[in-house]
Amino acid sequence: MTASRTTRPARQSRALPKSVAGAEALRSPGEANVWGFEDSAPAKQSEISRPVTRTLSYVEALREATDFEMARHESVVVFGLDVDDPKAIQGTTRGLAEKYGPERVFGTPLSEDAMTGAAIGMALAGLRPIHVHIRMDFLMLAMNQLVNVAAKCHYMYGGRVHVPLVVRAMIGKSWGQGAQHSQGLYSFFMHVPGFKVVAPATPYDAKGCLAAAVRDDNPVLYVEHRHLHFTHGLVPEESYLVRPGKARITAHGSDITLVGISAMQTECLAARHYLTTAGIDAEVIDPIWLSPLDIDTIADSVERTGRLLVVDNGWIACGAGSEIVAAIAERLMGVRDLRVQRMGFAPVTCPTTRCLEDLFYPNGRTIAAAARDLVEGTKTGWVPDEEPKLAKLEFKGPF
Amino acid sequence: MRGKPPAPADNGKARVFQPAKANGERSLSVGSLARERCLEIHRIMVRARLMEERMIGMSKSGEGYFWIGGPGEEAFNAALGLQVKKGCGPGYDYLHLHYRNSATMVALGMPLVDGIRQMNMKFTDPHSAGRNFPGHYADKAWNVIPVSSVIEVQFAMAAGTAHVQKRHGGDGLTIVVGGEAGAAEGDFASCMIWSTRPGKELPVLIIVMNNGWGISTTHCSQHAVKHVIERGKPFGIPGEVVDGNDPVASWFAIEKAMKYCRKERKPYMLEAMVSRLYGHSSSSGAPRADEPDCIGQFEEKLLANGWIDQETIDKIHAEAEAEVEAGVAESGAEPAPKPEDIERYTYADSRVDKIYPGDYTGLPE
Repeated sequence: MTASRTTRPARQSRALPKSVAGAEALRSPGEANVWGFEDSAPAKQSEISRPVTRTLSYVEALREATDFEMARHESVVVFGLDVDDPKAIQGTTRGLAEKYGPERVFGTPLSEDAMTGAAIGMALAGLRPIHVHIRMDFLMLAMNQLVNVAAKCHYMYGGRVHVPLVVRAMIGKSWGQGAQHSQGLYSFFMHVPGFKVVAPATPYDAKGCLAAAVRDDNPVLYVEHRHLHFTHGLVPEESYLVRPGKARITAHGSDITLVGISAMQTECLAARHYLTTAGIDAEVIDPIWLSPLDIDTIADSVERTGRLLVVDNGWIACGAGSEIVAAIAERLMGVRDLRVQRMGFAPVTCPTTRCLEDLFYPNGRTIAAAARDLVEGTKTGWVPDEEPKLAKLEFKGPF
Repeated sequence: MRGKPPAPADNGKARVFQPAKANGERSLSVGSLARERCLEIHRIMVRARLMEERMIGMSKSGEGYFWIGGPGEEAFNAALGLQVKKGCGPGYDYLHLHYRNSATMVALGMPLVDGIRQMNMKFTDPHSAGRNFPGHYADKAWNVIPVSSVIEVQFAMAAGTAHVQKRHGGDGLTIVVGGEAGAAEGDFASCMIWSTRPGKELPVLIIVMNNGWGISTTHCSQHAVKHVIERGKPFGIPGEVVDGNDPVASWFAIEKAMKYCRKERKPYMLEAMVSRLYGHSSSSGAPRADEPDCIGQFEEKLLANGWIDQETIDKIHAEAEAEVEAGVAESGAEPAPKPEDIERYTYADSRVDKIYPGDYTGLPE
């Protein structure tokens, strides 16, 4: 007991430069209402003065943030395969080529490694590239540039160079997208010092996190789940930042803490609804930034609830969810009794067949079932009946 | 060590590999380049060589840990460094060097002590603050992009800096240097593809330093093409093979290549046939190899031309040696990185809501 106390990591304040202090006060202005839940995060609008009434899709919010940042400074460029295609990467780059010209918005030869290398070269020469990868699976071809160069330049060269690079990577291309189009491999990048990783789950965060990523002097992996692209939420018209390294409690509760990463955030909110029918009051947290990771907010919650279920949008082994559970265990060992569990992709290659694929991903019902078992400390066998309003979504089919 | 290569460490059993001679290389007399320029190049070559040889000694004595560098490439690299349009930002040349470019840095004006500081892993090392291998330079003021141990990544990055230069305008070009073995990486092909996109050609001077070796593998055992620049032909990239042990031939080849890139804003390839005088690195023992030595060859030509005498040559070597020893002493007394700085520089202290205040943006305001 004593040993565990002495080795427990000190609570770290994730200090950020003072220049983002204003943004710190920003909270999502109630975007969880989009999902029909009343007790969403309170809106504190220290910089956004008037009530936010405008609804945008995730894609529109992302496009607007890109537009604002490009208008803000000419060093911001957007490139990657298909950015100037009529489909405009689900619409996230629509109109940008026309507005900013082919020198700032352009397609590239199909080589992820080369695109990334060129982006790093541009960043070292003073640009702030937003490099778009249509699938995270294909980003594996660029691991050398990302891990060996982008993440390390600042450290390896004594702080004398910066790589202010945003890598947009799409995940979750299901259904029917199979083994090499559906992976959520962001934990690879959480493993590497020098990278920041963000996985916004709402249109509000999509906009604010992209702006923060563009203005960050570090390489930032911006993870966007395809299922979220056409979800809607309240988005202020102004430019704003969502602070790096700060999680958000999206729904308050007292019986269990659910942490949902990326699209699993919406599934956790659905699970919370199912759990209320079983008399269980779940707290839901969106980490938003996976690196730096806000363990403090999650630990505070788990200290109250005593139970933690982390739902990842990737495989469990060595994943983001595993990291969160391990960090909480280190923090709260000896402080209070805990029950923890991880959920994520089934430990198999993703199949295309619908009947098999349904077993591959967690969903609101399976999360609720696992959460109830965790709360009650026994296998109850309970699985809630599906409610149509909580079943997905506005997905437009395979790419 | 000059002129007296030690006997091969393995009793002569090592495979002796002579780099292929350039096809149709121009054999130039020193007289075709001005005397002062030749002497300037010679002094740089000697200073860079003695620095590297001292660093090899440091790697063996325990003063340093690992050595990798460019003895054998001084002739070409000195001629390159002296012709760079040196400065900060896209109006000037960007340099994506490999880890055998010390003579280029010396030609740009790097004091020898700075190279030794990196070997000594001192906090005062202006390139990496004591956090990287020797020969891994980075200098924002001179557009020297960080050198990578992972080979050939710079060939993809070169497209990025050249893109900025194309957008910026002016005659700045991107110079990217790598070995012929590294040209087997996809990044090399990517550089050719990116720099020749129709209507979007990039001003990249692609330099292949062909020493005939990839660590311990010979070029001829792995590559069907004799010269790497032949691979540029389908892309319409003009090129030339030059004797990289000859600083005068190298000077004119670089001059011609740079002139083309600056004017046409398109890529050009140079392949320099060079020696590798101390093997791959300290990991292979860094024994002196039985290959042509560019410094000895150049000195013979300078002597034959009556442009220098032996006494002056000895003086230049002695001065360089004194400079190196002073650098070793100076850097040896300087502080190492502090333990409490272990995490420092992992992340840039972003000013998130500003863009590079007080810093160059890469673009005209």
